[in-house]
Amino acid sequence: MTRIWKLIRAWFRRFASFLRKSRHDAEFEAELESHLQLHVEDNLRAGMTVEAARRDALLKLGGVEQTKEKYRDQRDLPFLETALSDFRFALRTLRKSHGFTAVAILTLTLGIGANTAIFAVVYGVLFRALPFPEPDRIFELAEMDQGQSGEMDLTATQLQRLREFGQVFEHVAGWTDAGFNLAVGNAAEHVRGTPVSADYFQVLGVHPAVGREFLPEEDRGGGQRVAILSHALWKRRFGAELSAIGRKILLNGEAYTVTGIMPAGFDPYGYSDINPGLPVDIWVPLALVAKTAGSGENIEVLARLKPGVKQSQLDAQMSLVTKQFRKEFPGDVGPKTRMSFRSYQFMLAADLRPFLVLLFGSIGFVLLIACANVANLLLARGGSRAREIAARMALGATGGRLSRQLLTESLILALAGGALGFAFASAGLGSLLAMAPFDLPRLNDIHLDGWVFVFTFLISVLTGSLSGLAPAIWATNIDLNEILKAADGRATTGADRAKLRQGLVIGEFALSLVLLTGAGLMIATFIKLMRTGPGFDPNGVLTMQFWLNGSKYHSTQEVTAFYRAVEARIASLPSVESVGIVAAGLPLERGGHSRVRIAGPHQSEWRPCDYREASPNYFHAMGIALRSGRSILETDTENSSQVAVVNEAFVQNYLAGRSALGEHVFLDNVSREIVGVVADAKSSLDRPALPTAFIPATQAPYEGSKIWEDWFPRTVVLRSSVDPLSLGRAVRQAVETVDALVPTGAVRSMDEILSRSLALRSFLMRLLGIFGGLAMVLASVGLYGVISFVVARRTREIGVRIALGARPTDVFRLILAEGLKLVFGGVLIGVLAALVLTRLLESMVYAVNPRDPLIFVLVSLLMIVVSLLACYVPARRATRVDPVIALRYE
Amino acid sequence: MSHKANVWQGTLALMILKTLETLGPLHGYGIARRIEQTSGGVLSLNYGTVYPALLKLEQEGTIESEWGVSDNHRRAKYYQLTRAGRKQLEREARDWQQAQAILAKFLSAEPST
Repeated sequence: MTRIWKLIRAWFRRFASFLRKSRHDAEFEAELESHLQLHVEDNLRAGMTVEAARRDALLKLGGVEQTKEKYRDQRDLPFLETALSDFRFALRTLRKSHGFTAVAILTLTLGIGANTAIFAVVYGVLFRALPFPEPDRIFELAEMDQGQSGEMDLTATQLQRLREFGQVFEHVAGWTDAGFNLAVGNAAEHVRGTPVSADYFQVLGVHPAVGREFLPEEDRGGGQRVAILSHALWKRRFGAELSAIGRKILLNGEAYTVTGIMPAGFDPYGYSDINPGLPVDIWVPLALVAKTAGSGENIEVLARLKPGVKQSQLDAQMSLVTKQFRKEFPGDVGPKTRMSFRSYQFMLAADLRPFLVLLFGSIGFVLLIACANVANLLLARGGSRAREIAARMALGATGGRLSRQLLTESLILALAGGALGFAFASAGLGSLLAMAPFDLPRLNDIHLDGWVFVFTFLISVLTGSLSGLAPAIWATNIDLNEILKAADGRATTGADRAKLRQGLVIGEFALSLVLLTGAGLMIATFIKLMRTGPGFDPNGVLTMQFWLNGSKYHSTQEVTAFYRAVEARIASLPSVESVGIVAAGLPLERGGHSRVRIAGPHQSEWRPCDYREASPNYFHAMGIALRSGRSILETDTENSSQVAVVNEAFVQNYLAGRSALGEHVFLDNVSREIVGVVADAKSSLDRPALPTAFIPATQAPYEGSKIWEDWFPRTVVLRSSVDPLSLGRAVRQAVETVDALVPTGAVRSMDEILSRSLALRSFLMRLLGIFGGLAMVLASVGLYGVISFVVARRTREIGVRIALGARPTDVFRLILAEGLKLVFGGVLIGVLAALVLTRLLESMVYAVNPRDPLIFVLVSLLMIVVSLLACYVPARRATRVDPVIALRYE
Repeated sequence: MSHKANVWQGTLALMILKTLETLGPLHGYGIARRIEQTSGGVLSLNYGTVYPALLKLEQEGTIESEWGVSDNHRRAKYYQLTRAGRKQLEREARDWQQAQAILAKFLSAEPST
């Protein structure tokens, strides 16, 4: 301990003395002078002559200057001193060649800035700690099924069983997603609500700012009607009055007592498939829905581990749980399913991880190219500096010292680039995020802060060292005599440096090609998806969500009467061609999922099947083509025979291609006759359509519809001849006129829904495109530099050729060939690398072979064309070489 | 710097501390001279090397310095031990003697037959 203390103290003193150098110099001078005098006097006393006494004293001392130097080395921080002088020197040289400096800094700014922005996204989404106390103890239940992992939902009974394995858990909470009609006075609003178990808030460690959380007894049995509001809702509907506590509010027509208000800005991060982007506004006890079909079967589980519990203990406990659950609930936990807990933070972004890793890797490539470019520039400049460097070596500078100085230069460039890059990133992050899909989890956690700054600093240093490495090594291997002998100081040493520079350009082209191939694959996928067609015609289609739970409609008849009234009003609007209503989900969004059994001679097991309830004009309004049979008609009523319309995927998968018409199927134990087949409207563009059954809204069981509506809003769908969004207000008013207490939700065109379903892909595609383009530009700049250098170096040779009768086209071709040699090398290596690396994209491309030869050829051609452009200018310059001047150059 | 030189540096520091303990406050020239004399001329020492060593000791806080006047009325910088310096000297002297004793035993061992 004392030793360390002593060391710190010594260094501190040295640093302090470094700052007050001149005074200390003078003092030591005086000390030495007194030393010499004492010694001389002693010598005189011993009988020496004055001259001999002085000489002997100096000799014994070991040289005044040498002593001073050693003393100084001990006194201050010699490396700091050289670093400072290197720094000053580098600044001076950089200022002298501003063209070079500007290009190098610009290159690095782009490279580092883009890396900073992407890092901010990666850090915010994947690594930033969640804003809860001790967030690393919060875990989410996950299931691993043959290597795939995902969230796992439990039933209320299973949740209770899980709680019995309590050794590692402090709290185990369940929550599920729901929507509520909130009526206050005579205005209705649909809000996103979350039924949660009483200990949910303990798991997250966040408690109501006003009032209290749920008591255990309120979450027992059938549950009591109490509610906790979000701060935002409290402000919006209660003017942030404290009297809101204890008040009754109507949720889905039932009276709930408000017990608490969550703190402002509280976000539980529970991602909702159904209402992506909609914040949670209300929490109610889980017991209220725990025993119901639907919600009670889809409880997501969060747990707070006891302090100090290790992942291995957790895993051991969970393998016990898995064993027990396989025995007790074989239907839900198959022999291959493994239950486990993963950290909440991990689970929130699990789906995005591969995308982000891909982006981060790609932008890393861009930075590498930027490094190569700067190294290239430094080497090019090294050519004209060879003489200066040789001269300094001749004067005694060591190789190490010179390397350090060159490295200092590239470090300064990189730090300047880093500072500008950080500014660039903070200016550009907004537009980057505007491009991002808005339901990206943790979007609000993305911002530039200390950690991002540290990252920028570190990669700046890394970039500086990387790009300075080649020139620095080259400088130490310089052949002094050669250079000093050579007439113009650069004639002979170019060869190995040229090879290095050419190697760098080949590398740049190879990296760019890999990036562009990735971008090409994403673009091809995107085009394919757009061309696939969603199975409906989104042109001119408007949709509006609404909810009937908690309203005055308590039977299927009342509901469909309301439908007809709304449809009649909307149909009478000008430019509306047709209007229908669908429940349990729109195309391209998540919707109702049920099961089906074929009846009759081809009887089958229960099979999964998507389920929708539609009014007669829905198919026409959505533009879903009828393939055979008939659509749903007005004559399909509660009392007529029970029918269903299915899609083509249904026929293919479950009816083995037989004519579907007249077949009978069981949907929820009701036998229905299939009367029509419609085209496949996809739920996701990049997956084949799921078998789907549509039943007439008039024949939908009322209780079932209510459950579907908890998750999926009912939706008005209309087709118009004008811009559909211009009808938004009129449609909302139509519903309001029929019943002001029916809350309406988002008004969106199907085009919007279509593009949103591709948002993540288009984000990725655009970013990869931008990165690829950036990479290509940088590589071209590098190539341009190298070819210009080649032309300059071979001026004399070109002059001779021209003097001997070479035509300009010959010269042009000569130089172009030089450039193409590099490009072909780069393309060849790039193609090989891309063949290996595009395999990483396999999960992100759709209907495109990740080794599609067409894309490889196109990208290679693009690179060659761009590189020809980069070579053009220097090649033209070569053709204009005047042989007289070139030969006189000596 | 070679390993040997480091050892030399370490012993030089110890010699300086011991000199200051024996003779009390002293200037750099006096210290260098004393070390040379004590070694009986076996050690040949560049007097200049004591200064970085003195500085190092001062930075570590084992000695302190002050300008004073010498016997023959010359201005000179005088060094003297601090309390920490005394302790360090004690400790290092002991370590050194121990090491020496062990090595001496080791070297005087008879070859076994």
